[in-house]
Amino acid sequence: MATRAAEATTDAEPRRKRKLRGVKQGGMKAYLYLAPTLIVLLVFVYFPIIESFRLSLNRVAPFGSAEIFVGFEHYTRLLQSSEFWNNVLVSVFFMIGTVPIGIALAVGIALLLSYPVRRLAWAHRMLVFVPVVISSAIAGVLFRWLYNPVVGHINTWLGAIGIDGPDWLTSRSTALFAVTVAVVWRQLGFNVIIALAGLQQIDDVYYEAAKVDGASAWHRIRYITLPLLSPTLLFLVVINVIISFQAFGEIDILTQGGPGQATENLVYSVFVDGFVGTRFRGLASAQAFLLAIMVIAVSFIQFRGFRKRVHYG
Amino acid sequence: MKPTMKVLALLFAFALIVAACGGDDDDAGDDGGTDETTATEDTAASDDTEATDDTEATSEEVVTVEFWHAMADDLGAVVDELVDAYNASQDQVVVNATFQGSYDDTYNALLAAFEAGTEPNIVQNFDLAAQTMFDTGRLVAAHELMDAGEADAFLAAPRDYYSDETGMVALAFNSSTPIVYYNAEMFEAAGLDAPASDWNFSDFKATCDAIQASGVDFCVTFGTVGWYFEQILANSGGLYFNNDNGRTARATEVAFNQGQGAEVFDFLTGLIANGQAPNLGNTWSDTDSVFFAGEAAMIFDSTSGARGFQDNADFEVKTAFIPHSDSSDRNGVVIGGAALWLIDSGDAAVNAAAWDFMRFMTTADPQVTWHTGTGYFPVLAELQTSPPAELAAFWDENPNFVTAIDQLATTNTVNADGSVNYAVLGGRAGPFPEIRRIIVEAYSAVLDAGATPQEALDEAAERANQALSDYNEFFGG
Amino acid sequence: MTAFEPEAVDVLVETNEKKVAAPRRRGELPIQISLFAIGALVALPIVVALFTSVTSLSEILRDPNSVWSPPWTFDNFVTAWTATPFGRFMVNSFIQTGLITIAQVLFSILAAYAFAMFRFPGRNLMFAVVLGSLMVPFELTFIPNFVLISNLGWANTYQGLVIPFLASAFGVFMLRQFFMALPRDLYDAAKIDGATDWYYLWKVVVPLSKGAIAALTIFSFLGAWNQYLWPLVITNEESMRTAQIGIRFFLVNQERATDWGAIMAGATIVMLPTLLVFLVAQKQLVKGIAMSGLKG
Repeated sequence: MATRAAEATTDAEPRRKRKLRGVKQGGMKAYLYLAPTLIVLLVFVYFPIIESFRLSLNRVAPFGSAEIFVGFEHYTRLLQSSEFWNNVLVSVFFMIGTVPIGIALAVGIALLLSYPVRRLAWAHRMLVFVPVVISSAIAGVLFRWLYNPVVGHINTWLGAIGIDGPDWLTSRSTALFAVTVAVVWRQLGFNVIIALAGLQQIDDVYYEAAKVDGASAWHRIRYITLPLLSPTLLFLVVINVIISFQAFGEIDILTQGGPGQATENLVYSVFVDGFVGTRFRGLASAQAFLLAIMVIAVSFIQFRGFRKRVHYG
Repeated sequence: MKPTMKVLALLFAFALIVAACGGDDDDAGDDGGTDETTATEDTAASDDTEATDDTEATSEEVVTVEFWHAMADDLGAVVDELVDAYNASQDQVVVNATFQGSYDDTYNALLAAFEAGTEPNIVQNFDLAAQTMFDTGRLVAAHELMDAGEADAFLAAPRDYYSDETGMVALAFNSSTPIVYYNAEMFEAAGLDAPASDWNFSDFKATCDAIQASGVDFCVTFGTVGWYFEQILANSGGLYFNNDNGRTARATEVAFNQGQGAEVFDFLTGLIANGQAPNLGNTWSDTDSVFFAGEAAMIFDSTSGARGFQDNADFEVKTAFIPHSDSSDRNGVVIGGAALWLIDSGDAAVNAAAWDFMRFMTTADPQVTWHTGTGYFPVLAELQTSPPAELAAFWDENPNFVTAIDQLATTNTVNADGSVNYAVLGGRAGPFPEIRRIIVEAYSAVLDAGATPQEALDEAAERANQALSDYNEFFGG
Repeated sequence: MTAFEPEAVDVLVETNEKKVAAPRRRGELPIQISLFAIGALVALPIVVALFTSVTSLSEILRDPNSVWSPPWTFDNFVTAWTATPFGRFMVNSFIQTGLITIAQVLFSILAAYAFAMFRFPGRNLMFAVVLGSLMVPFELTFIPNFVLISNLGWANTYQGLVIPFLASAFGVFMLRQFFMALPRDLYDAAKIDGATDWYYLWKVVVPLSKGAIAALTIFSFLGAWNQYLWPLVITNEESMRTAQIGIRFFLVNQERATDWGAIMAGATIVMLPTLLVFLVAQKQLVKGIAMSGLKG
């Protein structure tokens, strides 16, 4: 993997520049330029990792600063707790719900958008892109309204065609789905833009050649578009997985993790234990640590899984 | 391959490198970060002391008192009215009132403010916060500043609720109880009389059948919040915590999964499961929409909504007591709502100024304004025993405001054998906010996951007991 | 060949627009219809919000579909604006977003220049430190950061809102790629003319990298504007809330029957700045996103 990466790097760097870069010797000066970034990252990213771990080994008083050292008790308790595994499962289901569906939708829409229509192309794009500027808070508020059991539009529309809509957010069978829809929607504009940009990188030459060979539209998509789009797809997967694990705003506004813990993912659980009502910051930190390990592990698996299938062209 | 494609490839390549050496990076960060830890803690410590010094400096001049409250919208407007009245009434103290969001938000904000050293002088904090507030050690207890016998001006229920063994700690300001609001027109259409003051679950369900038979979608609506379970359990004589509801010693275990608990929880979850109430989740406001829209004939809510329901419904709203279990007699209710807590600023003059305002808020005139503007009942005994003419007239015209008062007045605070009825005194425990959240989840365990009420309560009890033990570790069991 | 060039995307966007102009005979109508249907569906939540924001609560409770027809009213905006200090929230958001965006762009330019142009001891380690931070999930850091910021007395302050986010590892990485691709001859020529690194950076490198810097600016802006979890925990005074947190509390703290008209009016107020950016600068925004590709 590293070799491959190194190759790609060298490849993109014109040789001439590499030779000349050694010219500059400026230790002190370089660190002055780097200082703002390094200081912020060390204080607010690296130090908290250690501090988080330390907290996770302690019971932290719900207020004040008292701490009782408990070793790995929080970890063992979490690993044996059905709530924790529920939260892990919610995070995973959420990822499965948002990532493949979100990306498939985005690529499908991008394929349609890249079709050279004669007019109104700008209008179509604008409508599909618009969620890109919507925040998770607003997405949550808009969908809370749409899902409202009493006067919400979704159930009103369903009612109009004779369907008795479910209690979207208060029933365990639909809540996670409902939240997933809101996140997929908010993420759609971004995903479509990236997918469309990826599609437009593909040289028409390939299509012309395929046409000469008599390939059908589906074959062109399957054997030219998707393989050549694979770097973009990997991008989208990586980003969307991270976003799905971090999903918070929509959950906070739509369900607060409920009903029960049906939509309580790990982030939400860390937030609740760390900041809401009676606080258990040690336990929250232990969860955060386990979450971080999961996120890093999943990213790792993705890169390995995609490595052989990504066509860098 | 086009240039931007190369860029993509390049970015991936770098991401791969990062992924590959992610572990090493962390180690590097660890080494570099050790000094960081101590350095930061030093700064933090020195800043902490600064923060405490930061409280208002005082002199002979005007003292500013920061007051945090949790009253939104219409209720908040009445608070502002009272604060303005106080500020206008004298020229030594200026009270600066800030709305902090819901009770939960205010509670969270206060704990965060203690950390940041930005706590107010007075906070309106809710019933459940009592034990935590005691434990913070940051308060000036009301009894330290009260004149002899002053506490007895309060109704017994709010006085005792906010008292520890030495006396009243916080001043009950806005006290409420849950009541049943109902759509009088629907009751009439269904041929129903007003509910009896003493009605059990069977009576309630019979009423529901009649209502739904008359074509109304739902009999009742209520949010799956913890409060109604607490209150109906108390009304049925059940304890929430051990050690006499945490009143005679610190609560170490919950008791809500024993005795009446399952029966009460079965009633509440059953209303939803049987289609007699819509499943709106943990809400205080969607229920109102259902009630106002005429989809349900009754609603459980706080008496503090009396003004809001009466003014906003386009039908006649009447009120009734909450029901109790079939297997018990009616016990009565626990007071809810919130109290004013005086936080020690370390400056006697500021504390005295804050106390002056708190005392003002619990005197007769402000309490009347507060009661008639909201529905929270007056906390002073004299206003109930000998109400001023104006208040008596108001009650004649607005019987909905009397229900909560009667419901509390008829509460059995003493058992037949003369012992204290701890069920209606209300539970007290440090992690009560957490435990309330656990109960909200127990609703879902029954409604969505098919647990029986007993199973759901047992599981909730296990988690609640863990929270109690984690909390109590810091406060000597 | 260059590693990172805004014109590349530019050209591609335009190429596509040329295609748009070219007439096509077959299959246009079904595509038009499906595109319109998709676009309408995607925009629907926003459209519903806009219409709800001009409908009174009593109409909404009577029949949700009444939002689609008059009478419309702006009362909800008045209600929302007076019930909660949305004006203040917006100002807070602009300050918070502005500070974060400026700092991220500025610091990224500086750090990227150092990585691209200087050779110094510890360079690889430092680069690993910067890139490695991309792997650290925010969830892991926010409790200690909260404790730290609180202890510094910075809860409910602008510095508390922005300081943890002043640096952008992603920005450093992206700009470094860009700077490295600039012709070295320029640098040598500038040096011969006696230009300092500082002068060269601001007079040559930055103007030549406008596209990349614009893309980073857009990214930082959207990221900061949409922040949720951190402003939620670090502000507990209403006067310091950002727009996102303001709308959250406005919804959560509805005392009686939720006033959806007023809430949607509030949502509209909060959405407006970014929607306007979208309408006015759609092309640059899309280009910026497409170009950056990877979001940190």
